[in-house]
Amino acid sequence: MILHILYQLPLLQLLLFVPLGTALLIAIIPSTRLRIVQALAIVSLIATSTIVFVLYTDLDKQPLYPLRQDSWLGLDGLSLPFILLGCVIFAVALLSTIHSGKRQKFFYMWLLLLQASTMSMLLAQYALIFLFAAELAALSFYRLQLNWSVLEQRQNANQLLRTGMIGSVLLLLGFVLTELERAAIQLVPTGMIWLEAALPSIIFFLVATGFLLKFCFMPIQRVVFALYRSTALPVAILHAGFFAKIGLYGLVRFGIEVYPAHAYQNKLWLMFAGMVVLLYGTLRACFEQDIRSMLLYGVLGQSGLSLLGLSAMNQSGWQGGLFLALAHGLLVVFVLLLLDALSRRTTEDLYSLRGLSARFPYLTAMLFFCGLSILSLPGFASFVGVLLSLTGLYAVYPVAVFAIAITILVSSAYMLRSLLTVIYPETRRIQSSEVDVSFAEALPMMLLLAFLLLLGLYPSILSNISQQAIVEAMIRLKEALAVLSS
Amino acid sequence: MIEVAKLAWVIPLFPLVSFLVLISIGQSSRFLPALFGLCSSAFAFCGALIVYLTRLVPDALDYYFAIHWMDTGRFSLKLGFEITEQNALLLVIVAGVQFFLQCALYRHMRLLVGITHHRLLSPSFWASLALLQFATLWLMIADNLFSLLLFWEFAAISAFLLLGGTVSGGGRQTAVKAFYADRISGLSLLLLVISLWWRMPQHVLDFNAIHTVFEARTAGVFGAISVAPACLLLVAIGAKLWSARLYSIQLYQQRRENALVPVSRTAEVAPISVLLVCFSSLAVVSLTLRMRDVLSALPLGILLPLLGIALLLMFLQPMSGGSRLLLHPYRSGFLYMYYLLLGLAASLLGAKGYLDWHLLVTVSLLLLWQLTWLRRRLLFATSLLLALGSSFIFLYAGSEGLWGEIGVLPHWQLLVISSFLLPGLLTTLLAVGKVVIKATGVGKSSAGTRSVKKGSRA
Repeated sequence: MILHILYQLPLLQLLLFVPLGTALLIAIIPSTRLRIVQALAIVSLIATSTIVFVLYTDLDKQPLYPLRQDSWLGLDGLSLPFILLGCVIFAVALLSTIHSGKRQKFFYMWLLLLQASTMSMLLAQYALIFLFAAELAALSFYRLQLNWSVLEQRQNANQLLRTGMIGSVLLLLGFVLTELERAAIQLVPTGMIWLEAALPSIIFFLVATGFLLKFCFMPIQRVVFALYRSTALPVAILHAGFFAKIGLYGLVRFGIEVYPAHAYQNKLWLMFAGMVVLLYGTLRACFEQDIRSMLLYGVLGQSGLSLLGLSAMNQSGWQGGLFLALAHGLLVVFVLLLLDALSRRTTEDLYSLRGLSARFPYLTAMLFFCGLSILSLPGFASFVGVLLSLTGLYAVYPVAVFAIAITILVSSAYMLRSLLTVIYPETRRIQSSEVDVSFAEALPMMLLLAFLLLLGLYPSILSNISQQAIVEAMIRLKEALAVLSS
Repeated sequence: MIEVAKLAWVIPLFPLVSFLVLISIGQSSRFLPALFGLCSSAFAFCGALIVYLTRLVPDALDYYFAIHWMDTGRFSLKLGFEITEQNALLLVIVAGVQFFLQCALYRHMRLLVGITHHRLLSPSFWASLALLQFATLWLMIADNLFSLLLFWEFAAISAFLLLGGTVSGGGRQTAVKAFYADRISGLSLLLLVISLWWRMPQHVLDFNAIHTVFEARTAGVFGAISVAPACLLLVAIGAKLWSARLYSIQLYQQRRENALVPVSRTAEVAPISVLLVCFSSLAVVSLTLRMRDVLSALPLGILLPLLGIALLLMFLQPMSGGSRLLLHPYRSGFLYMYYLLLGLAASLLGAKGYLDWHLLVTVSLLLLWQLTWLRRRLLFATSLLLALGSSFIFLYAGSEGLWGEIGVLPHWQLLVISSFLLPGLLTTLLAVGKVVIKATGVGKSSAGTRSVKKGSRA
């Protein structure tokens, strides 16, 4: 009964305006009343989570495409999983802000602004609105990185912003050229552009490269990982786990879906990009000597697999690619939380961590689960994504699947080496004054691990949502190819 | 009778519940974790025995059950179990092995008087053991290739956890090497799942469907069959057997290291190695039996030399240590695998005879327990069990046993098989003889048992 009343509300607009309104409300509260600011932020998070939950139950009743749409905002099976991911990651980020110190009022303000802008990226129905929201999000990231960093890393933040700008310019160029070719100002809506056969292939290249640059797939990983070390933990979590993963959503929604025939013709190029990311991440992780770079490059290498899944251009490949993006969003946040807890207590050098299990058994157990998840063993969410991606890819390039299997084997070599260094020799538990983990640190880790296991053991809760949207996208892809060939 | 088979999914759940309880309780009591693990495996053994006994009626029906694990339109994967004749037998063997080894481990633990910190006293050890039992039990009754792959990987992880935590260096290195081998076998199984998924009509992966399709293809109904799945399957089997071989080497090395490391500190390693040898080999048996039709895509001219090389490797290993070590009971890991490979050879040569394989598996398992753990007073009971079991299975197999199969083979194949069979039989007989001599008190009492007691006093 209550749900029925809730369904009538303008939920999509609320999803944007609740964080925005809370940010404005926080702005007028004096900065000495920190408790109220925190309470407001938590209330806003609970409100947005409730809205997303209501939307999820609504989807269960009528799995139609699109789920909700009005003139500017829309929600369907592709964007809802990412919005769910965003809810989880914002909750984790808010849980881990409790530690960070100075100027908390403005910190919360920027965080809520970031939430509003990332949500509007996911709800946007027009490419140019998506681009505008992405710029807003990038600006708030820049602000958060400059003012709340642990170390001074102005140069790196500048470089990240610059690369993002280049990506944006490429995207803007691509979209504007699309508008000019179509001779109708429509802000590049979602769904297929029927005349796209007439569009030059270069536009797709511009857009795809723009997405890869803007959302940090390549080539500034070193800078980005250095930034994750220096900025406040919630900012790093949001950037790695949510913002970078929206890139893949954007690539699907405003890259491949808008230019389906070009994407299909250039799928080899996409596969090549995925292969480069996979090989680069895995090989870098092999030769890294500190655990931070090793884990982060390991996750990066695995996220190349999601590009590979997309490049298969069939249903299971897409399903796998999107599932993998979500799984890696959760996984990279898990890694960052773990690394933060580790670096607070001890060093990050792999060989100085020998025998960690005697001092910090809980952290070691978490590290072990994290390693298994990066190896994409069954039971973890990434396994489902890898399985689906490889199945999709096998239909198109069977040889590539064998090459990927060898790469995964290499990744298990470095992961085992580091895990064994950390776990064994298992000696007697050292009783010391060092705290293993506090409750505030353990809670988000347990939350993420529970989600990773839940998605790995019962993937239907997420794959059911996106199924319909992907089926329709495939139908449109086939129609576009038919138009092109005729 | 089918009602019992319907409830067979409960059997692997006993160790799973035990695993969940054990990871949630801390270091609470000294004996509680071990006792809990022992109880769960006893329940599982009883359940498996009941399922097997109900299958002995003349016209017992097979039972299949599966749920949709993931259903995304075209891509649908199922997870379930099936109770057939061979599954029930493998289930009871696995449950029996784990139960008896738990008993042996519990006995070891009771000997640790006065030692406060030992792996056998930590709940995490018993938890990973329970996880291994759960994975292996479900692997035996898995109904399709995908669920087999899932539990195959679970078993590999828990084996790594079990052996990787040993105090002495050898166990850890073996665990790493074996985990690499397991990763190779797991990944090739994953590729096999993917390639079969695209090849099978309607993308089903049930063993029954695979059997039907490949049998029809071998008969030329669907046209030529590809060699790729067979090669992947071969890699998976080979890598898993390699990891079993590594566990056997570990068993032997452990024996040699005992002079340096107090036995009481590593008392759990030898039973765990035996368990891992058994479980990895039985996983291979389970996989090969169900996927025999896929393997038959390869010509015998390729299969037989490969089997010969594997057999030679298995046989040269126990021979390499000199004559004194040849008869050592701890070498039985190799003997066991030797028998398994021989069974594999016989089964691949014979068109449909897998009962001979049952015979070999059961007999060699009984032999293994007898040689390694149940000495002295229990020896009599075990020998009796061995005699009973083998005669029972001979009766059960009837005229279609090993001899019936070999009888119809060409002469040169018969010659190859018997040339491999003879040295194995000879070694076994010598080993059995040695144990019998020891047990009757002509020789000295076992050094292993004595040093365990000594260590516990220290």
